[in-house]
Amino acid sequence: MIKALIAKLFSYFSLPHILVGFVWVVFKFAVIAAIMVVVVLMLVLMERRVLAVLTIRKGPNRVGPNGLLQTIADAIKLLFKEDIVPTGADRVLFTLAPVLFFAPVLVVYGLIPFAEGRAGIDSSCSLLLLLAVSSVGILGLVSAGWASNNKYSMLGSMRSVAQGISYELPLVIAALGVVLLSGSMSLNEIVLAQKNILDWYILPSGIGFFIFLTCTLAELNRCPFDLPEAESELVGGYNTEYSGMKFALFFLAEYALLFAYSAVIATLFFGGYTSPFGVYAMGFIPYLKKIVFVEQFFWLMLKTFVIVYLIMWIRATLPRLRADQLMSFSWKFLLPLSFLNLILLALLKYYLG
Amino acid sequence: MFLGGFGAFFAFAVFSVMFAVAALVVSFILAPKAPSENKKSTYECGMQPKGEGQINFSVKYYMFAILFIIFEIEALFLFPWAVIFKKLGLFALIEAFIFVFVLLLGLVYACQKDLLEWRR
Repeated sequence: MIKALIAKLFSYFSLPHILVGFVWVVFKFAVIAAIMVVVVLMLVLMERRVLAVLTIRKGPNRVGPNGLLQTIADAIKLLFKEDIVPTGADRVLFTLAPVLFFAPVLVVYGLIPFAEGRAGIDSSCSLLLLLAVSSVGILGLVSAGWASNNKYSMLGSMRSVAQGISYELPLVIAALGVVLLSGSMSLNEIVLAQKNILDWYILPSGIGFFIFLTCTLAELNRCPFDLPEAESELVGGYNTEYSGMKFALFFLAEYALLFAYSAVIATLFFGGYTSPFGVYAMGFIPYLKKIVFVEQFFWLMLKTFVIVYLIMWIRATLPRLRADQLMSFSWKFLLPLSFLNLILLALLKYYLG
Repeated sequence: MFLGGFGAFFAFAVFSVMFAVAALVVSFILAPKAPSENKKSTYECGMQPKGEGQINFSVKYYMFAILFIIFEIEALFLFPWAVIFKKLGLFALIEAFIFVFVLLLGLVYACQKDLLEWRR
């Protein structure tokens, strides 16, 4: 619809038609960046309010009505903060690290289908691309730790990286189980294969969901896997030396990834943007039929925020793991379990589907 | 579209980097600049840090990295297998079992050699 409008505008002003595709990509990127920024502002506030409720406190409630503008105030504050580069730091790498950490997150957002056929990047192997792109951020962590010239940053970033790569494997293999069930690597087709609550892949692949959720927590460096940022041991982990906008980019990327991974869980195991009842309420109303994608977007958001709430709940409930427990849990328990899950799903698919 | 379907992907990658750089540039223009020796010193415990900041780290991390590469490549090999599993039938099932089994033997070996334990 909007692409046709752009094409019409181009022919009206007699501009070269080759540029329509480019402007269309720019438009999609702008929409997705806007979604990301709004989602992150909501998530930061939600996290603080949810944690407050779970620990019987009040949480932020002063800025704006009921504290709704708190994160906007925080963002503006961080924008106007002085940007300090420590004396021994590698200036180029120090500046590059937050960019390297942040940029892949937006690409991940582009790959998530927010409604039927409405992803920023249409690709037949979007799940594989998503997994590949999301692990690029680890490079940002390594360079942040190395460039800071600080022992705590270094240790924190090494822990982050070891944890990130250890938990990446079970995550990828759990996702592989879903690819096996649906026979497609396109997230859009994976969603379309589970149009009904009974088709949701959590039913055959319950173990896969458990593995994926656990690894997501570890990839996000969240409780109970928040060793890289263990304040009591390592000051602040890899971002100890960061301040101002560079710190804000790390912070933004972490919360954006929280939402992105939750959306991926919703897409892989809970039917993504489809309605759990198999039909859309808006599909019955003649004029609203055309904008049924609004309802699909709503369903994805609902499922995603339920999972985000679950992750926050886990943070308020569980204590932190020990470093040795952390590594052996991934390699000795989750990895064999994920292979077991894969083999069970292969047998299931062979004999039943 | 252009670039054989991956045009949007590369465009998104470039725009994302531009987005992050733009945020840094805006903050560079708006933020105050008043550097001082104390402010720029490395933050550790409040004391002057001793020795190099870029310290040596445990060789254990290297072992995990090698194991990671092996299993990640295995997972990558299994992706196309999973997509055409239905067409290949019994052949795919048995072959993948052997493939996974051989690599799991490697994991058992690493476990026996105490590579997966976080001890000295």
